[in-house]
Amino acid sequence: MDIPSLHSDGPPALAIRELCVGYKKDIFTPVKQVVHNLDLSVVPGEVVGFLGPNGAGKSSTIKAIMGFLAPESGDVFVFGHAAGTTLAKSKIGYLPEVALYYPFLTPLETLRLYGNLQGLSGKSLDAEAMELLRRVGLAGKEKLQLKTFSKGMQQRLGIAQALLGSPDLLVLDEVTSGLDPVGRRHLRELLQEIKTSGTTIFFSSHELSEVALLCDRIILLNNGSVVDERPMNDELRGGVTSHLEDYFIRTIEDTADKTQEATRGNR
Amino acid sequence: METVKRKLIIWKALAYASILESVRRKDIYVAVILCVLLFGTATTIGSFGVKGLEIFFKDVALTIIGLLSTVIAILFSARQIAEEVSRRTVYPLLARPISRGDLLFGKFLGAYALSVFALLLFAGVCALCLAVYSIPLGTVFLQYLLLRAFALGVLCALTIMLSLFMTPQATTTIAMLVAVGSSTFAGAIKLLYPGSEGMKQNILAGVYYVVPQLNLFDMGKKVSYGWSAVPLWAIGFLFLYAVMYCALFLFIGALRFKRQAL
Repeated sequence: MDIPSLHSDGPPALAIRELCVGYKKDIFTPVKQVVHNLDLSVVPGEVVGFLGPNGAGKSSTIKAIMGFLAPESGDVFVFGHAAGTTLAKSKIGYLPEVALYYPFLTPLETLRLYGNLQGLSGKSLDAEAMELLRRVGLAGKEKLQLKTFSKGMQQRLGIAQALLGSPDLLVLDEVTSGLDPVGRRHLRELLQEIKTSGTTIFFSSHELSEVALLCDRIILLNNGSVVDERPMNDELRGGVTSHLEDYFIRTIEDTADKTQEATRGNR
Repeated sequence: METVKRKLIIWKALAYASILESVRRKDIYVAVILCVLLFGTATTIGSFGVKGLEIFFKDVALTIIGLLSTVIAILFSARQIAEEVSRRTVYPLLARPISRGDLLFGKFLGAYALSVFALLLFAGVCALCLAVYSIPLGTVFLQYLLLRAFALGVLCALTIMLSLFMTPQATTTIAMLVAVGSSTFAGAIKLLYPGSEGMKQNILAGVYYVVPQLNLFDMGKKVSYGWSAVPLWAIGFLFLYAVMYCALFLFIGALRFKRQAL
């Protein structure tokens, strides 16, 4: 597998070593493993697409990166800091899979809240919040309560809160979820802009067109393991989505066949 | 010093968001409506004359203040963390460089501030009702409110801790039982203690000291009968007692929350 040769003297933006994540329904049921011995690394400045079918373990991996769940085993480091610590989280801007915010707050109040938690305050925070709202297309709506917002508008606010404080690493879970075509194009342009500034982006998406246009590298996950990892090239990008889509479906089906054969063999 | 300042900003931001949301979703209107009902009922009853019923009226007013502020504190606190998790607003919060303990404490402050506000609102309305019929409450009433505010802190912390172990409905039920039943429970232990011996007596003593004695904070009778104020050292002792229980409950809650997969 080819890893891109982006050079950096410091620690990787994201390093995952032999990560195993499992869920336990109650104390009487065994742990159901959803991520198995996952290894991956993202260098600073890289844009990595984290792909896989539903239930592949993408969101669980992202939750482990954010420290929302304790892994069964393995390590996750963000710029050399253990995942979930305040030092690691201070480097990350995160967009959850389903972006939900306080329905009775306004976008400006919401960004002020997250900004305060980030260690920002005062007029500089307000100025940054207004600028971010403008960048995500919510200018003029800063005083409306979020209960009046559509899903797409909430997603835009989610992107604004992820960008607050200019994080070194952006972790975006299903980034285009709920966005209309115009919103997607705006987001793509915004992410291109962020990419140019050198921010590392690690994102999961089912929208392969976004992945094809933005990523330096893709990591394909299935049944909790990395099944392929390769740099994006013109061949995959060709025809905007068709080649990448073909590659995605072919790889997932191949690994599903191999899993079935292995299961038969074990019997 | 910088860390303390940063913690204060975090806690204030979390508490402020809780308060703002509760006000905008009109939760606090429940308290206002209850106050209006209280005032209306008192006016109706009072129109039949209150001569000789001063103690009874004060007793009723203080019971209502105690009961309603308890209900509000428990209802606000029970949903602080549970609702954050169920509606997934907890993710962008915990993605920030704050600990789960910070989130818990910020939410506690928000619930506590709202509870104290409700207490003062009820107290204001009751004092107004009693003043209309020229029934004085005396300075001991201020001590009553102070101790009641301490007790609400313990209740908020207890409810938030319970909400991390059980559903909001179960949390509300258990917290209500502790709030209403702790004095009865303590009384029962006091009765049983002299009759038991050895290990049983030790267990009873242990249970007596582990369960928070919320009745210690109740100065309702002193206000009703117009007794003199209690010495400051007693207030100081009860403040420490309340702080100790708040810290204990929030610590247990933080331990549980830290291990919880989201």
